[in-house]
Amino acid sequence: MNNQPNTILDVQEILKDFGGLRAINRVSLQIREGEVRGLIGPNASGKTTLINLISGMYKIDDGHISFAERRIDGLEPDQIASLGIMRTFQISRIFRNMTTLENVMVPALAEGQSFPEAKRRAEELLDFALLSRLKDEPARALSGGQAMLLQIVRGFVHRHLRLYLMDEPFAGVHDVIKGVILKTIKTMNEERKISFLIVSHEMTTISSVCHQVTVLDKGEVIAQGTMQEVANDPAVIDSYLGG
Amino acid sequence: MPERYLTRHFSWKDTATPLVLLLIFMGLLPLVSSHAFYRHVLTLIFLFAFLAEAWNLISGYGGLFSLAHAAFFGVGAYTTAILYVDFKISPWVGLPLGGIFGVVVASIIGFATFRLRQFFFVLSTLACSEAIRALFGYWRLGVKTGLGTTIPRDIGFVNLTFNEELPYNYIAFALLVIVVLVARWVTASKFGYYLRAIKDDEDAALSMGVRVPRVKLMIFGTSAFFTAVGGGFYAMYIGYIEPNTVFSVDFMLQYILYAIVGGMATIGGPIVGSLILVPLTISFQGFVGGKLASLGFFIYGIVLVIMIITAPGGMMEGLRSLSRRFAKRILPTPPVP
Repeated sequence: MNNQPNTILDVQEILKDFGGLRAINRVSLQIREGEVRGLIGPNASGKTTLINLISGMYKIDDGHISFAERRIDGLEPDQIASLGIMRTFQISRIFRNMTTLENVMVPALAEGQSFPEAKRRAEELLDFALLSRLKDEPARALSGGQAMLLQIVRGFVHRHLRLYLMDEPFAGVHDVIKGVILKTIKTMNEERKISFLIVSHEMTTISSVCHQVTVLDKGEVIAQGTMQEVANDPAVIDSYLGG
Repeated sequence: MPERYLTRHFSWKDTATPLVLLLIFMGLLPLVSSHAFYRHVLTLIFLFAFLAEAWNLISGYGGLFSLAHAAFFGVGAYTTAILYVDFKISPWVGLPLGGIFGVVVASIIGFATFRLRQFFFVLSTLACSEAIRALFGYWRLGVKTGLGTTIPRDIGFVNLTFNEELPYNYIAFALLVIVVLVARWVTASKFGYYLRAIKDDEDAALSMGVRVPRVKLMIFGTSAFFTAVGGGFYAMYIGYIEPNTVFSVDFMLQYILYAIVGGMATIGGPIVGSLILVPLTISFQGFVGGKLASLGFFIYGIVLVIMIITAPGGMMEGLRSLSRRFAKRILPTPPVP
């Protein structure tokens, strides 16, 4: 086992094919406890596929994925979530016909929290994310940015959240809401030591919040390091930043 | 916000009081007249409301439009009848046992179909239903009951067989009250949250830790249990069963229609739908007969279309809109939160 004691996510040599297309080609990735990792790369480089593999939405064809030294490839998404891995989707997937408050209560109840506790924690989070005035509104009434914020806040209600996978959390979001999302990520990282894997195209935003960045291209890891380091990497410049 | 205030305080969909009043009203209906036909219609109203409510559990709240319920109904009817006719076991035992067989069938169908979505799920449940009907059509398992079977009418409570309609009225009504209580529990519990989340976005629910397959199976099983119990009651009430009747898709479509017209994902919808549409169906079938029989169905179809256009979300949604409009009139200035 290559795991360092503080490695929370260990992805080793994973492979994923869709028919004749190799979407993920022997990707390895380690995230330490409390780390905020950025995941960048050009379109169709395999970023969302990687998130889907870690969260159990897709099954890997080869390799292995461990979380807190426990194999999780092969587990169902709900089992992975119960271990403390939450995720968001690129296009907000909120429960449109439930209220904002009920949206946040769903993962809390699924985790086994009682109704009063789930409600209290959901209200605290909505308050923190400045969404409390919308708590009784149906989620379908929220703007795109508010829906993204709700989707993000929803995961934090999990008491034992240890790794948060975020797929393009800043895409198409108003600057004010982007600020709230960044503040939420930083606060949760500092106070609850939650680790993050954040897919984003926004270099400035990524560099402001991530400790390290991994660059994917054509389903392979082509660079890894600080934002400064990967920005100067010739392979990255060639494939993604465009020189 | 006025809209929110009104919704919270005048929602026919969510508050218990109108539902209790509706059930009290229905419970008193058998006492209005002792005419046998009137009470026969009431038994059908209660039975169809019960079946529509059971179907609504999986299809209204769970968002899985099931056409497998014809199979559950038939399995319940045959289980109760076989146990009674061949093994002299009281229908009071046969009803829950039929329900359990319904759950077993639902588990098998669910296992095969739950990975499918939308139309594929609908069609696969219909296919399962038809396959089971065909299976029972060729029933040769060494028992007397098979194909068409007349159930002996030995009058007595133990045999669930009566000379008059009133006991049937209240047994069917009791079944309806039980399924309403279960539906009420489902909507108010954690389980109800999971169902609504799954209905909105199954993948998102999964990634939030909701055990989607288990939740689906539980609600499908519950819905199948009650439908099969309804089948057992129907067998004892009508006194004759055959595969083409108790596994009939047409029969199933009737209570599905009542649930849709009344309002899916509401507790009152299937009841209101049955209360209005069962007498209407019988009227058009019975009174516009002879050479004009097809005209009766034509008029019935037009009435249904008008109802659906007038209240596309179902009658309960229509009542809800009316109540909110009324509330706006009597509450000129709702408090600002």
